[in-house]
Amino acid sequence: MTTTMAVELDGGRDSFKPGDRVEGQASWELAEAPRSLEVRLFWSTSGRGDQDQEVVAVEEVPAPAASGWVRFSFQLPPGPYSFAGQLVSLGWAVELVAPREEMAASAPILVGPEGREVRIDGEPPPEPASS
Amino acid sequence: MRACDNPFRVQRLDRLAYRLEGATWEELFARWEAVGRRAALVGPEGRGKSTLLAELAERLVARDGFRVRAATLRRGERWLARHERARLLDDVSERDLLLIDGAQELGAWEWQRLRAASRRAGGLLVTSHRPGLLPTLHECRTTPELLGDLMTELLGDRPEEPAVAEVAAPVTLFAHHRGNLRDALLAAYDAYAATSPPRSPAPRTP
Repeated sequence: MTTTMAVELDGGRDSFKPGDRVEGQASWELAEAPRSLEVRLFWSTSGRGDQDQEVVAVEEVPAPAASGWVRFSFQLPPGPYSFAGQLVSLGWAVELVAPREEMAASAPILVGPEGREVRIDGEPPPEPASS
Repeated sequence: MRACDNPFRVQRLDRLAYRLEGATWEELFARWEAVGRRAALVGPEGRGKSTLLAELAERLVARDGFRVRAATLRRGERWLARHERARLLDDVSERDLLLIDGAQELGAWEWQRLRAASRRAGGLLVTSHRPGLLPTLHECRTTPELLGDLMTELLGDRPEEPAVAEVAAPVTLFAHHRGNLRDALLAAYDAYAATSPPRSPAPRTP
């Protein structure tokens, strides 16, 4: 049996401002019911140094079946902003996680004052896909 | 290049699996039993000892049902802090597999004390820059070919960057960093960081 996990953001939106609500749907189809299932809003860094990360909000799925879907709605905090440089980047994402089974799916998002990533390396920021 | 697009970002380096050469996992397990489940992974810095330690521990947990207790020594750390020692050794039993990464840092007296206190544990596996602390289970070595394989894995199907091909050639990096693969891969990171963004941006994975 194929196992799938997916996170979809309403309207395909992936650019947000601090304080916005991030809403969408998480779905899964697994071989067996996971022992627990959570939808998380988090940020993490990547680059040349050790990773820093923080889960800022969690919505637990009560008694998850082997397959199903849930709606999620998170309010973004004031920061940190998504940013990218040559040495370090910070990105946000919503992820659906079955921690015990070590399975996850995620949808990356941009969080910034203008709904776009802040560039700290002199490169122009990309245009937001939607707002 | 954005850090999150760099193929040599640390988060990807940390996910590289150890390439066991010169022995099979079964031979390592047999040696582990033969030396009484007290052994060391030996090699200079940047040879993959910590990676092998983590991978071997995972396999031993799966095989023997051990509970892992681990401590990592930083450079110049001659003894474990009290809370670290308690976490490692309090109520230790045969169910416990003790891991000490960087055991060469420990002072001789502290090492003897830890070694004695670990006798009740089911196993003790350490990494060290030098042999002699415990029987050597595996000597971690690197080669330019290994570095080349890892770089190929990290680059995947990314188009070759001619501007960095020369400075980030595996043979050059290996020689410059004297076989320290972590430093060599970070040098490759720096070479790629200075390049323009890729034509097709990678997904914005955090």
